[in-house]
Amino acid sequence: MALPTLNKQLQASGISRRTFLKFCATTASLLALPQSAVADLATALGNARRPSVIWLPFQECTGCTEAILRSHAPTLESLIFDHISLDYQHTIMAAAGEQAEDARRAAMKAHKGQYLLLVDGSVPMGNPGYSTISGMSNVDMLRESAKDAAGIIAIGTCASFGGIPKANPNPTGAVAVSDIITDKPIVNISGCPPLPIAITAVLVHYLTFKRFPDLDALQRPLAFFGETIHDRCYRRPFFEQRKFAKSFDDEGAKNGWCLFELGCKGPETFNACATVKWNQGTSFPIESGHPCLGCSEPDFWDKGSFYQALGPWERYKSKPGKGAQKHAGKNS
Amino acid sequence: MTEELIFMTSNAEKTGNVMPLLHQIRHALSQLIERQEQTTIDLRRLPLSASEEAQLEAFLGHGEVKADIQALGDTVLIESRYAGVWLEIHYNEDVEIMGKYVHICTCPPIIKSQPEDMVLSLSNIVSDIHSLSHQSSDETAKED
Repeated sequence: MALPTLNKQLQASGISRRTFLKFCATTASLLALPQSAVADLATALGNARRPSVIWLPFQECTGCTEAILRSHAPTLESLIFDHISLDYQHTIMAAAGEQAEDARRAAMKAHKGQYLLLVDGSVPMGNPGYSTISGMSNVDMLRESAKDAAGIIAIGTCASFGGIPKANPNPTGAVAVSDIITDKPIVNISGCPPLPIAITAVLVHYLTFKRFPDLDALQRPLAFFGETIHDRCYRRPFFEQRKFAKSFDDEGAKNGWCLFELGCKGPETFNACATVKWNQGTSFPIESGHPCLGCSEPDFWDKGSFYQALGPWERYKSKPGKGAQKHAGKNS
Repeated sequence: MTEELIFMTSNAEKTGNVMPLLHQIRHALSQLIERQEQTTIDLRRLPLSASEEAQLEAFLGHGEVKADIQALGDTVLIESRYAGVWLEIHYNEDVEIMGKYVHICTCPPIIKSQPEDMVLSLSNIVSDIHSLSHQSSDETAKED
């Protein structure tokens, strides 16, 4: 049975075309598409069929799910979350146990080769018993669900790179999704938690263009991970002037100076927090006076103290081309 | 006035992108006049500090038209004091800015009624007129 188009669903929900165009304009902006592409985006996305999505939560803290589900309600982004057919997510679905697993297998069968697989959490390889769902190990469930998926979106740093479960000494033998599945297009939307709008935008891109957006070498969408936090940080001018906070309560901190010497990992962290922000656009960690922890980078937990400077200032001073170019060059 | 607006901020808050942006707007406006070519500049994709964004908006100012659209959060359209140069700001329902653009055009596309919405409107107006006419007939019958 063909699932309805987005246009049909929007009409049924009383969403006007103008509202949809507004959504398309803002999403095009997030995906770094030219505004001249908005009309085409609206046509293609409007005619896209409702996609079946299977979402597997593995070794995770539910922070990623919380970030997405509690992000903004209801908003333009929720148009897309309302639009997808979320056929399995055991944290939030009403069904449980075998009933839930039957729903997953039924969706896989009905939409073979067409469904999208979302994964949050890392996969324990040390002992299958560390994390199971309905008696099935995470790795077996991942392999079974990935087999007929059109593509995989790894949500959060745990699914993307192993995250905190993988931190030294990695007691469960945690690995990333891409360590196990190597024959499917995979997008990593890292972050602890990831930016919800990045997930929406990737879904929109996939529905519109039938492929994932351009990715960096770590398989993250360049539109969100093409620049460092430092590149777009409003405190950057203070960094260039070597005006630093030396403690959390000194004059520098009160003046809003750069947090580099307090351990900010912004210069080596690729993410869009500085522009997209958190908590309904209120702020991002640096704006709240705390250094960036670098949570969207691999092994961020094992890179030394969060409060130790990355290195000498000279190493990070205005390096044109260190941003997108460093990781660019790999498409899905 | 222009120089005062551009150079009033401290060096710490300057990317230096305001003046090039204003020249881009000037060039786009001349293209609109000569070739009817529309341009949209996405301000969220440009490195501008908050104070520079404020300078840009102050420079553009307000012209004769301001429109508010309610579409899952407000959208504000302001024709600047330079006819043909519009500022468009999209908010979501949490009043978070989702998009900010400078349009150089005669009328930003989002303000126009959309064909799909008009088709639905026609069906609604037919139904509403039908209801009204039934209501009127019922009232007339009661009076008789």
